[in-house]
Amino acid sequence: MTDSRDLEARLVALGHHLDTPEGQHLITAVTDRIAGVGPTRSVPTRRSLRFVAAVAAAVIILGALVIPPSRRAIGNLFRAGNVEVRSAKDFPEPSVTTTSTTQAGPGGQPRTIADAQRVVDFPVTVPDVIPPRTPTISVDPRVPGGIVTLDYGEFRVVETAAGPGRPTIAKGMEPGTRLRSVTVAGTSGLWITGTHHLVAYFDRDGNLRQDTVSEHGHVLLWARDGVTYRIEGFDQLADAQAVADAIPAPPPEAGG
Amino acid sequence: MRASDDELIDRSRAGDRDAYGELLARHQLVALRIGYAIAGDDAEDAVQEAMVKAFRHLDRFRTGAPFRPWFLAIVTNEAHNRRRDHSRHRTLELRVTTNSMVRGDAPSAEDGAVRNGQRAMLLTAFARLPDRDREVVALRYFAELSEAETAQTLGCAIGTVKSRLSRAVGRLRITLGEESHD
Repeated sequence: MTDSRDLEARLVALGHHLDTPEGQHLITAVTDRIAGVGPTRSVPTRRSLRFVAAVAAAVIILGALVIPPSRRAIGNLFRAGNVEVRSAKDFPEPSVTTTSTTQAGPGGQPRTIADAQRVVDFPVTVPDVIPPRTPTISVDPRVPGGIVTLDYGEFRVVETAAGPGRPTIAKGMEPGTRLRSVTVAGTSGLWITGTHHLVAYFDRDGNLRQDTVSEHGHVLLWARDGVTYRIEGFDQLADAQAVADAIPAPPPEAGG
Repeated sequence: MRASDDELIDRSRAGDRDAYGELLARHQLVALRIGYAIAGDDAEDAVQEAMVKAFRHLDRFRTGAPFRPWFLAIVTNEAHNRRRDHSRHRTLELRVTTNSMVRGDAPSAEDGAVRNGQRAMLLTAFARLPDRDREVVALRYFAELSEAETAQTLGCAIGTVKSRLSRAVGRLRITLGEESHD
């Protein structure tokens, strides 16, 4: 055997000993992503690719969140819980564009948890972060059910009601946005990464509020017990999940 | 009875996601190897994206042709994109697994340590190869494609594959201090 052949044999053996990712959930993630999206029958145009990406993103949202039976799709506009997914091109231009780590909570002065609880229609919960820290709290009562934002500086926790009525949150997906189905605090959730995506809130009349449109980076999103949670500001999923795990379950029948 | 790749592809084209999942399961391991060899820790993202793209373009796949080279071409492209976007200025960091049960070989602890050390050295040398060399080595040896399949995957002539392999293996031997003196 020549040296070259010996080296080739060692390369083949090396291939079997690479520390490749296990890909345990890879196929499930893929089949989820392609759910309802048939293979293209011809070379897709740029426009149709954008549409496919929007549909795939929406399907993931539908599959990953706690979805009420009333879920529906209207054109390229989808609904899951209180989150509506649409193509970013269908968003109004943001009046103020900021990053998730620097934006103050919409419309709110710092409040206490008790103050926030009086304004919103869902039980507000605060993560038990270690070491204990006091977040800056803001509330936006313009959105049905209200929004509470807990700002810890490098990250934010945003809580909204996930009732069966009108959507309160709209997410605008660019084709480059990546969605990954993950387990968050024991339930299904989404880890949204890639290109920035737009987030905005609907007002009580069902109109997308231009003044709430902002860009966001990585976001962990999930719904539990009638509340939708969003954690923004982490680059690593594990860091966001650690905060999610520290959010206690809301009391079963919390009063307003 | 085990369905052929062609049967699974036909069912996938008709929208059968389970069939597509079964098809992917047959090629996932090799796809992850190629993705890892090219893009390191971005491999899983690259392979996931490639799997989705392959599904969307199944109608372009020529029935009767081997699926693996066609699919690995998409994986290779996606892995390259990840590498280019995220870490092109860094030396690729790759690891060998310490799982001695891989492929059922269970050497003694001492033998295992020696082998792992040798593999780690070889992998380090591999990681330092230029991207194009790593690509052809990964397809030919890690995915164990034939030279013809490697050429099909890379969209080049067999002669090009042979020359690239010769150059890449030569570079590895130099790095490892195993240059031939004949």
